[in-house]
Amino acid sequence: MSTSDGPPDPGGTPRVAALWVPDWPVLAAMTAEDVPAHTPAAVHDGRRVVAVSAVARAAGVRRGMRRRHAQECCPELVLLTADPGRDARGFEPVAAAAETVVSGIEIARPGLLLIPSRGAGRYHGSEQALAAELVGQVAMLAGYEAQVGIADGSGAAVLAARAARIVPHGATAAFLAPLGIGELVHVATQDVGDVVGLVDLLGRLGLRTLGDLARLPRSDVLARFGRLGGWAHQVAAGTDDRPTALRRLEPDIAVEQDLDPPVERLEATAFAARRLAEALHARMVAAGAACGRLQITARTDDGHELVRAWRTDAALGGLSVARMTDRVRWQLEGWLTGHAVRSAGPGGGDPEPAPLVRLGLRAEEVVAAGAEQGRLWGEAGGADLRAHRAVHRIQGLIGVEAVLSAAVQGGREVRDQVHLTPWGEDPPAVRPAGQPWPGHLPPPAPATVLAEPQLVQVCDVDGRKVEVDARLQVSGEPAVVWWPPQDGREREAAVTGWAGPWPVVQRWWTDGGSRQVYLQAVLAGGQAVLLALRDGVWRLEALYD
Amino acid sequence: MSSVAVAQARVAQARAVLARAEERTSTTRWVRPPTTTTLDPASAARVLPVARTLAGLLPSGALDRGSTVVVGGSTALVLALLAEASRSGSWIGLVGLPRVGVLAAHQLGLDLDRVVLVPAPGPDGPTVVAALLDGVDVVVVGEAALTDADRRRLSARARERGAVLLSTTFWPGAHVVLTVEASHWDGLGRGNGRLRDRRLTVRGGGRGSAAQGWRTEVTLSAGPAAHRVGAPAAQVRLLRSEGRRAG
Repeated sequence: MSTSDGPPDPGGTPRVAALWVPDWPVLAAMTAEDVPAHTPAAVHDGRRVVAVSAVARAAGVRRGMRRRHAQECCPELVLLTADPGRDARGFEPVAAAAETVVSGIEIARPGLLLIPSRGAGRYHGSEQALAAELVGQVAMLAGYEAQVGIADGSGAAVLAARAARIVPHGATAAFLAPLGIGELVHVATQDVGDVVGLVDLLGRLGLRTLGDLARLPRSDVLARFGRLGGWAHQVAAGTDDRPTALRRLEPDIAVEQDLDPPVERLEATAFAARRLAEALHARMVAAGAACGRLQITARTDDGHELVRAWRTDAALGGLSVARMTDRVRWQLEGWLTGHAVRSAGPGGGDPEPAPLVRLGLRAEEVVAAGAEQGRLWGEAGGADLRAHRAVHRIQGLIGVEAVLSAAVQGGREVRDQVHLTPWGEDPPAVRPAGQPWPGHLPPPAPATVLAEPQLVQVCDVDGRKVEVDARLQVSGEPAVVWWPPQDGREREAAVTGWAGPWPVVQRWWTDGGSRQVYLQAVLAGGQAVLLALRDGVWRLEALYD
Repeated sequence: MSSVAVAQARVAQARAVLARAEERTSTTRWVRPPTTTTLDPASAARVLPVARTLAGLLPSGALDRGSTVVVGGSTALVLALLAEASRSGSWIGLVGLPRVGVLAAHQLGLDLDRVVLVPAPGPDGPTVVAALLDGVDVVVVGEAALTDADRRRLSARARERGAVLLSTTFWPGAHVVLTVEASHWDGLGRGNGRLRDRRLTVRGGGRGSAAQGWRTEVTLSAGPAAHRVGAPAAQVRLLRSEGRRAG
């Protein structure tokens, strides 16, 4: 262990315990699909088997096998589809069980927990006691069999967990040295593909064990293999000093109040709102917490439950009593005056405005105060604050869905490229806008997009409808656009210039597929329009006004 | 120092050539579009900037805070007028414009992060517009259930809050009224090309200094060039000016 940086200081590497549930993806899948434990099972991702249960492994099924090959080895094998979301969800009970033993854990990936063990080990008496306690609680509360390993540094701890060993302080390098270089793959929590490539390369260079890698000078490894190589060297040398990223779970904080007599007048609700806001604020201050969402619940005396959640931007200065009172008052104003009332219960519908008998506030997504993420360029300025406040006020008046924010997303048609979401809602993933999207309509985009396309007729000089064939040949030059009679009047306009037809055929392999051609036309009078031919019918889609 | 003197001499020479050319073509009575660069910092706080090429549409060369502006006949012109203000950090509310092309707004240069859409304000139109005027810099009002009294009250509120109220329909007492009289598209043939540039003939009018009226021609182009920040999205050429001094 003679590195150019001098011998690593084992005292500087934190003691980490790793809790590993073997074959987690297949265990989670078996739990979700109710597959009995004695049945051989495996998870495959459509191409290859990615995880194998112990029973199936005994029957000869291995990771990386093709589906047919796996079934050859073990005909009664149950094949389950891979689902990372299910793995993560299913692991939550295990994490919760571990949290009954220690206060802070990091979920490195579903199936693997990292726990800083120095303090926890002292608390439980010894590291052996901590490991026994962890395994026992996970087995009892979550019902899974787990292995615990403790070593210096998280990388070594993961490998120790796979061997179910507690490596004494300072002996980590000796423990790691004989392990095969391929073990690095088990340590990686991200960039797994890159790590596989690195392991392959190191193997071909003659580095068969972690000890071989650790013996190389670190600076040389870093220079030759970059960041990933540096990480691998750290793990191999047992000096992986990455701190564990602990999560701290905070329960929601809620306050409620019965209103007796039922509140009908706005002024009276303001007092109730103020009292509740003060109570919630006091509890949040006592807990040293801030929240991401404020949920307001009200029950009317005819039994309707009204619920609405507000995002509380840290940029808005978090939640002060006055701000919470404002929110509640706006909300109640809307509910009591009957504007934009929505029922949260099943059946939906708009209940009649009614007196309120119960009011509740709940702080959700609670995090430790000071842990909120600021914006990259600092906090919002005064203008942004004013605008946010005004928007929230309007949402209280006419409903959350009536105020929209817009974003541009990828797409070919005019409507496809716009993504509208209620203001303040976290927008879901949109189609990437940076992609080329071949076939999209050329700029400029129309400034007016009709909500409902108008049915029109496009005729050539002879008055025949213009058709477009499969080879995108128009049957005649568009000469007239004719609107069907509306209020007893029909309207037509001559076409002075046109371009197209541009085909847009997309998603034909799904139910929502569409197949249409677009035509830009300038009408007499200078107005430009976007026409679409779909299923043999011409429609006016948008105006370039 | 000598290079400065040379540059100044060149500028003087260029001005002289321009003056001779103007004299020869008898265009000296034409008005050059006022440039926003002449605004001093104090007055810059009272206006929202407009793309330099569109500044000639407005009497002060920018959107005056607290004023009410009517732009009739072209949604694209409304969006183009707001682009520069949006880019420089102003918030924009669009009320009662369910059909506005958000993509066009983006292409004309609006920052959608600071655009609030209220497509259907419903019976609460006046309250919504008033609440927006409190918070955002420009409120564009389309079809909303407003009485004339509401409109006057909202104009007063805009003046008080220093916001710009921009309507696409008739608005009593508007300071500036821009009406698109004619529009002409370039780039479209018969079966070839695509819509590219657009020439708009805009008639201006209004109250106070704007009462005398003027007529201008503007070119709106939203080609790929319009995506570049700072690229001129429009160009203005004054055809005729009545009662306006050179800026």
